[in-house]
Amino acid sequence: MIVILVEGDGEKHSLPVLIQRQLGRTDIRCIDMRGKSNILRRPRGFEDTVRRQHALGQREFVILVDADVTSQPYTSLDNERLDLPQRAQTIAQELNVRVEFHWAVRESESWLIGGIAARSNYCDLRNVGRPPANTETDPADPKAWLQDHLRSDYGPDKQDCLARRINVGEARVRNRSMRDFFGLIEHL
Amino acid sequence: MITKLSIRAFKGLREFAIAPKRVNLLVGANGTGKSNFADLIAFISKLSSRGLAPAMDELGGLSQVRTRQPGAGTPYKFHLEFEIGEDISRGIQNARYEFTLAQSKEIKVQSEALEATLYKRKPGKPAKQGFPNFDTGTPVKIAYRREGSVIKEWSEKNLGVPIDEYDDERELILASYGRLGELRTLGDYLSSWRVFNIDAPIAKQSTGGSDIELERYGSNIVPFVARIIQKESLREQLLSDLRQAVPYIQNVQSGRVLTFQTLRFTEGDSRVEFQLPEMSDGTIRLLGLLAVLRQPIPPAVVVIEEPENALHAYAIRHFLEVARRIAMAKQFASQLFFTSHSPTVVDGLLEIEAQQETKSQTACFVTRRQLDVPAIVPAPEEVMHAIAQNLGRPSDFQREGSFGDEPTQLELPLTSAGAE
Repeated sequence: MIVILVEGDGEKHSLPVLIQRQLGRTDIRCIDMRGKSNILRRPRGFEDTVRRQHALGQREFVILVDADVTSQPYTSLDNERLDLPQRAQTIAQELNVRVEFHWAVRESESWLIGGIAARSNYCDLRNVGRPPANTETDPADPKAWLQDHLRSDYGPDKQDCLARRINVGEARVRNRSMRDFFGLIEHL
Repeated sequence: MITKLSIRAFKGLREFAIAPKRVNLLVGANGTGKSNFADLIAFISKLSSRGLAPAMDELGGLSQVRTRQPGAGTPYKFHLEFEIGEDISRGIQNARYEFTLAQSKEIKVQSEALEATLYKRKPGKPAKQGFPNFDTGTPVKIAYRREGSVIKEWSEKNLGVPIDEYDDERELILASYGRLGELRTLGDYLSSWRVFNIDAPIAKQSTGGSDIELERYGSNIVPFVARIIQKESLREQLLSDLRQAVPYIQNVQSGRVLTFQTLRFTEGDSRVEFQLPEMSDGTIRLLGLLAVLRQPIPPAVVVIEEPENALHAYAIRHFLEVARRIAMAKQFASQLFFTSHSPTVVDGLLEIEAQQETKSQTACFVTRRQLDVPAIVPAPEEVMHAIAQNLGRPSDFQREGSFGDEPTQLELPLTSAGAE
C-alpha cells in the first residue's frame, strides 16, 4: 500500500483514479491534509501523519504538494523546495520507511487539463479548445481555467469526474511533473 | 448491563447497532455524534420514567429527535432496540425491548415489544438503601407485544392489568406500566441510567436542588455531594480519591452561607477553608463524578462526557481506575460509557483491558457522520493503540481515514483511454 499525502479533498479522490487508470494499481490510499500548511508546517506537519500511518503498518509514503505559489501565506516555496526533501529523509530514516516528496507543477489541476480534448463536454465542460502543449506553464492559473470552462462550479466532485474521464496518457505527455509522479509510483 | 443497543433515526445517529461491554469508550471528531449517544441514553432513561412525549419534548420534540434524510428532509423511520444482560443485584436476568414509531408528523407508536425475565422481589429487609432483595430462584417472565394500539400479546398474569387494546398511541406501555408489578424492576433499572458532563461554572452556582440524583451539568452538586458525605465511610472514600488529584485537600463538609447550602474544603497545612466556588474547575468536576460513582447504588448505566476536561493526566488515570472498580463490582456495578478526545483516556482504557480481571470487558467505538455507513462502529484496535502512544488525537486518525470508514475499492472499470 502506498500512502499519498495530498493537499485537498479533490486530489484525495482523483489521484487514486488517475493511478488506477494509468498504472492499474489499486493499492493507493490518499490522505487529505486539508491544506498546504498542514503539510509544510514545522515541526509537526506531514511528519505526524507519517508517524501515525507508520504505527498502523504503512511503509511507503509520497507527499504531493502543488508547486503553485498563489495561495497565501506562501509567496515563495524556495525554502520548502530545499528543506522538504531533507525533512522527508529524516523521517524516513527515523522510521525506516520510504518517504518521497513530489511537486505537482503548477498544481494538480494542471495534470487534468492536459487530458481534456477539444470540444469535450463531459463533467459540465464547455468551450474547450485544444489543450496546451505544456501544462506546467500554461494555463498560469489552472483552477481559474477550469472554472472558466465549466458550466457549474469547480470543486472536488468535478476533479473526481475529470479524473475518470480525461485521457490520462495525453495528460501525462503534456506535463513532466505528472510523468515523473507516475514514474515514482510505478517504481515504489 | 446493555448487551446490545441499536437505533435508527435518533438525532445525528442515523443508524447503528453495537454490543457494549462493561467499560466503553466512544471516540470521534467533533460533531460526529458522541453527545447524541449520551442523549440517547438519557432519552431511554426518560422514556421509562416519564414517557415518550416528555422524553421527546426534552430533546426539542419529534422534529428535532428524528433524523431527516438529506435533501428531501423526510425523516427516517425511528426504531429503538436494546437487550440487557443479567444484573442480579438489580433483579434482572435478561430483557429485550424494542419500539418503532409510525411515519407520521405526530408521535405515534407503530409497534412495541418487551420480553423480560426478572427476579421476584423478596419481602423483608432491603439489600441496600431501600433497594429490595431479589429471589433468584423464582424468575418472572414478562412479555407483551403491541401493533399500533392493539395488544397482540400480554402476560397479564404477572403484570396484573389485562387489556385488549391500548388507549394511547402516543404512549409506550413500558412507560405507563413500568412502575407496576414486577415490571417495576425493569422500570427502576432503566430510569437509573444517567449522563454527566459536569460544567464547573454551572456547578459553582449550585446552592440547592435535589440531593437524590446529580444533574447532567452538575447544577445540584452541593446538595448531592452533601448527602453522600453524610456517611463517614463515603466521605473518607471520596476524600481519598480526591486527594489523588488534589493532594492538599484535607476535609470536605457541607455548610451554609446565610441561607445557601455550600461545600467547605479544608486545606491540609494551612487549615484555610475554601468554599465550592473557590475550588478549581477540575476539582469540582472530579468531585461530582467521583460522588456519582462512589454512591452506595450508582446508576446502572453511566455516560461520562469527556472526563479529561480540566483534569491532569494523573487525575484522569486515577478516575479511570475508580471507574474500573465500580464497573467490576460484584453488586450494583455500573456499566460505563466515556466519550473522549484524549489519548490519556484511550491509554487508560487499554490499561483496563490489559488487566486480567477486566480482560474482554472493555470496548472502543468510533462515531462517524457519513451517509450510508453505521454511525457507531467498533474502533480498530491498532488505531486505539496508536492513539494511546500519543501519535495523535482520535480526530487526527479519523481525518486520515484510519478508522476504516473510507472506501477501499474504486468503482470499476476504469480505463486509461478516457471519454474520447
